[in-house]
Amino acid sequence: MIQIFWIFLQIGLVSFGGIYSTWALVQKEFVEPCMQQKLSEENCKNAGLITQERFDQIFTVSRIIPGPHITGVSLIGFELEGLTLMLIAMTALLLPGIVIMPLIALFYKRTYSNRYITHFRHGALISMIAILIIFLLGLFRKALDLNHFQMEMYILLAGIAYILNKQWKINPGILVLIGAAAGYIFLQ
Amino acid sequence: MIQKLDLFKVFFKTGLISFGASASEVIIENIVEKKRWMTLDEIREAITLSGLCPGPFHVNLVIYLGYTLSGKYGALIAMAGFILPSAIIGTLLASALLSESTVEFLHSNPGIMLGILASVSGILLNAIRKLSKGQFDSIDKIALLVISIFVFYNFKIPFIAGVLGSGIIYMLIRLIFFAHRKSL
Repeated sequence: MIQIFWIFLQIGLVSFGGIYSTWALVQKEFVEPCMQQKLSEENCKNAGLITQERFDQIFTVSRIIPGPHITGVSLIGFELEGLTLMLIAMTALLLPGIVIMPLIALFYKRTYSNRYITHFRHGALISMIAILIIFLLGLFRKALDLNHFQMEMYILLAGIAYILNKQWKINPGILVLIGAAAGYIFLQ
Repeated sequence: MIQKLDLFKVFFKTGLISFGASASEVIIENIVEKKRWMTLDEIREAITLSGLCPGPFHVNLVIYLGYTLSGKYGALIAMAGFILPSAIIGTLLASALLSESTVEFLHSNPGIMLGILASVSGILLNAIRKLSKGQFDSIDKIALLVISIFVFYNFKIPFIAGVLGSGIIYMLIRLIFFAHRKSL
């Protein structure tokens, strides 16, 4: 249990930015050893690891949970040993942010008017926007694997969601539900 | 001073209605446009700082916002509010979510996931629009954005390295080429 806490703490500490970096690290810790040693499904489970197939399933399922993706990642803990481990994983993933974020906030307050730091922050913001654009490209890249009709539908749905969100400020939660329903009907 | 209960409610709602990357948009809408607790520029700063901290980005952002708005307890309350909806749903439904039937259902109906992702794309696009509004007013900023996107897309560099690098490069550009301008 302490070992799992430690692994997830490390994952929390070295994953920056996005959902994909966290999942990639989880895959490296819990899936790759299983593949390298070419374990059977049974042996894989007994060794406290997860097969690639199961990992993909958990990743997919995790995306229908609202809110931050740490709950989804913690499902790995549930898969391994149940609820306790899931909560331990969740705590470990949260810990770095709780400790470090207030320190960054304090540092920011101290250096707010420093000219160099201000330039630095402006530059850093640009790459944060770049990261969000990369996420967006990643989402659209999924659409490239689809057939022509599905691809058009995907882009159309995204466009509709954008306009509804921008012009009429429709609640994003509702938009996602509409998206799921529209996808169920048009995108099979 | 912002009421702690109010803080909790806002972030609970954010946690409930946001999916993945769409959280940025929900946060901007609630904190800047509805509650007017912060300006868009302050949110931009917050997003930059959250990117410099290890751990899940949106959780960091929420911790930072709670801390700035209402101190260290504010940070914990905001975080708790943001995480609770997904934690409740996730833990209560964990075995149902991981069950054979759910996996099978999502597998045989891939449209549902695609529809969700399409909506999230649209919402994320709106967040990007809001964040970049008025930001790219000089050629060096646009160039840096294009280079950042190119580098992130083609090389698997950690985001933190990109953010730090971009900040340092921009600082140097400003100091070397724009040193004569006092207004900067």
